[in-house]
Amino acid sequence: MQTLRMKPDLMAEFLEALAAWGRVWAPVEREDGLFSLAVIDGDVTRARPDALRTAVPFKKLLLKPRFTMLQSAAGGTPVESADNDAGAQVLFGAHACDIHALKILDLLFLADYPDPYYRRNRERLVVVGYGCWPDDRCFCDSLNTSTADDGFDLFLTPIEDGIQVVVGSSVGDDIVRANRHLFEPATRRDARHYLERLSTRKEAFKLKLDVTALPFVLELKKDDPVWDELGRKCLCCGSCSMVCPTCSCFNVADEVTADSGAARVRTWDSCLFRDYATVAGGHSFRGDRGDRVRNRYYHKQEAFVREFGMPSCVGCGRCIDNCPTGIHVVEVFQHVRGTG
Amino acid sequence: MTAHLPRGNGKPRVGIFGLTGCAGDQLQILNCEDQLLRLADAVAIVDWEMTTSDNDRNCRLDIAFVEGVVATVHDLERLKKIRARTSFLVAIGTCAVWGGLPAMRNLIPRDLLDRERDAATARFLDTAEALPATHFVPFDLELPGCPIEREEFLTTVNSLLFGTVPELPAIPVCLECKTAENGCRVIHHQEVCCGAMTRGGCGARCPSHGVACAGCRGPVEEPNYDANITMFAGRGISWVEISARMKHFSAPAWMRVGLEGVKGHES
Repeated sequence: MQTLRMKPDLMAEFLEALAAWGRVWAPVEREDGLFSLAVIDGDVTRARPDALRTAVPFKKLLLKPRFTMLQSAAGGTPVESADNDAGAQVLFGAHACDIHALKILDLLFLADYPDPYYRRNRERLVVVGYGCWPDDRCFCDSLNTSTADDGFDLFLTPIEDGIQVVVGSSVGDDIVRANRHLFEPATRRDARHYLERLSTRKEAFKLKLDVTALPFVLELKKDDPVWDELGRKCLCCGSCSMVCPTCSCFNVADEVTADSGAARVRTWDSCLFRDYATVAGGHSFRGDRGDRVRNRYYHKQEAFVREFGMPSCVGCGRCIDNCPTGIHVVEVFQHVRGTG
Repeated sequence: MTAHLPRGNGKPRVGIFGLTGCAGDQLQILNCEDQLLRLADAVAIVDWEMTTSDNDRNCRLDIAFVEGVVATVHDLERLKKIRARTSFLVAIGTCAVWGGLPAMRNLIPRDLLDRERDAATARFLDTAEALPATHFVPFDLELPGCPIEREEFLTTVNSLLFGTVPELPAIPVCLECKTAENGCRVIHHQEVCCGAMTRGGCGARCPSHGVACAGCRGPVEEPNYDANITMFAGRGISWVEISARMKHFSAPAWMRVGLEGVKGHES
């Protein structure tokens, strides 16, 4: 790992240089205060890496919300579709929580049975991180995801009169070597500023989630009335699943197309939809809304911990931002634990 | 589920009908301009009043599409006759499936309407309470929407021609709205948006154009009607506004499906 510094006014040139590694995606302001990851080729000044969270996270770069897996013309033989193959992409402005979420998706999609659609895009994804500052919905610090030691190619952190650049991979090193003029050696002063930032940032986290023994708490609280209460409050609109960086459930369906061909289509899905757990004969594993809400929380903080040794929540706060009825993940767990 | 259509012995005979309604769903079929010729070649449209006066009004139909509500005695007679002569009957549009706009004012008593009409100029027709076509006879498939989605209509016809029935989206509008990355009409604009209660498949067209979902595609399988209203009221929206917005398309259906927790909408 190598640490460098970059002058802030070189950011635009740096972004333009990234285009050599693929289509550059960055947060851009879509509506007042609402950010979305968009391709910034052509106008790099739109990039807003300081944006705390985009509504839909980076997962759309790896698996599109809806894509064709196989297709055939009318009466023809099905052939594989390249619909989801995005080619080389650069994700600029990933925060530490995003990078941890990416590692969680890698566990899900690359570990036991590699998902070829995910893998093809993942192998060509360059990740450039950017240091953020928490608001009242960030609780990544409670989940040890507020900083990232690996999982990126480059990581940029704004420090006093400069940007600290950490090289995290050989691709990151290539980018630096190809653009020597943009970077300078980091100074001792930079290191001091960075460490100061780190400790003041840690103090800035207001929202905290106590994850101590949480899987055990949940195991004991399966019948807690809180789940029924949440079932009455939850709209099951699926917004939290869509915006969650680690929610990755999907549906696969065969469709006849409008021009009489056929397509096998894969779409984002959510365990909050009744349809999701409905099986042959119309039976449902999770018939009640309360069951489905509980399932989502248990998957994040209980089942995933038992399988992979860590929760699949990274504390990004997107579900808090996007729940129309104001269900607050931290309050839910405080309530279950009996401390809120 | 499979659709039993004649195979190999001629084109399937198709009828398209409108009960009381605006004929917008039939118009959507005509709007499938790029696919119309192919469609007309694949099936024999033998009874479609909107497009031709040369109709066979009595033959057996392999597939029939019916839009609109039953709002007159005459509508009901026609509907029963269509059902009797049709193998695979498809309801098109929210009027036929859920009651839609014509069912909005069913709460006004009919004798009041009769009293208030201008007796000198208007005759009280053989009208009845406006109810969806699906209330009266069994349908084999229901395509919601006001109007229907062209793409969904075409894939339905093509699926039926292949002897299969399409799987229609059961997801709420919110899923499509979130993936379109629109600002939420509820959270960011404090509006009564019916997206969470409403069946998707429209690609969240209205919210993507900055307009709250009016619920035109009818309720999802298990709408949380009560929580939606509580949410709107909790954001300071007036009850009058909530009621007016939710009444447009599906409120009667939401009340039935959401409050009573009844799956399906048979009464």
